[in-house]
Amino acid sequence: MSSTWSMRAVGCEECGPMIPRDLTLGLVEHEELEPARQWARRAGVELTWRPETLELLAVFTQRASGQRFYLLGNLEGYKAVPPAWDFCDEWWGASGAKSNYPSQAAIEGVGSIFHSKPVICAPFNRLAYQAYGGPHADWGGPEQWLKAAPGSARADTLADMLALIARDMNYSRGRMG
Amino acid sequence: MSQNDDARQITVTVRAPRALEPKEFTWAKTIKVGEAAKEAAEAFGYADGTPTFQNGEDILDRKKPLEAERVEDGDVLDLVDAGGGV
Repeated sequence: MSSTWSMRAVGCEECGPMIPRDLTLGLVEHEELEPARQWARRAGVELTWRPETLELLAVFTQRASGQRFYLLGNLEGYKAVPPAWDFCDEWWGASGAKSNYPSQAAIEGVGSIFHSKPVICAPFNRLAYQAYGGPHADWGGPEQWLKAAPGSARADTLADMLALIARDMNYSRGRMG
Repeated sequence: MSQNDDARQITVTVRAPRALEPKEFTWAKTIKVGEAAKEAAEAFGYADGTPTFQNGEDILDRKKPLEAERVEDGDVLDLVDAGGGV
């Protein structure tokens, strides 16, 4: 399912070794997964956790259009580095395609984390960092994600990240491309 | 507490994404959304960010008082960050 995804989300020789898989598994399953599931139930988001691949799958329904958006989070190395969030097609493929992304959100007074490029531009997304092919060389490495870009969208638990993504999804209309 | 004091205050339930249990808060109707959200965020253990509330589907303006954003006694508000993308 995710060979292309794996290359985009994980491969980064400059970033150093990831933390042990069991550490991520313990953190997610003992601390962050249940709040995320509870939030998802309230928000009407379908959430699936795949412990064998450390992937969190979330399906959003865009309020304005009724269209479904498929968000895949690769949690390898979490929480030393942020998850790699990417919108995919309905078969969880086609990583990095504009047509899978929601259009820029229009929230008065708030800059959207959805832009003109198919990447969620927030410090809690590993794919936004230049080391992972993203636009941001100004944030340092992804291991600095908890302090990167002061004043920007902040989220340091899975539930908070999903809530922020939902925030912009709810004010987005249609697709990016 | 006098009736006038009661009339000037509202009690709401706040939910935070990271928390399994909500918390109840009582504020003056005239408190700014941002100030109330900051207090709520700190109570939930958020150390950073630009918190605001979401009431139903609406993201509330941090600069406005709760009453101007039509927050009423008994409402359930969701804490969300208002920081922008970069």
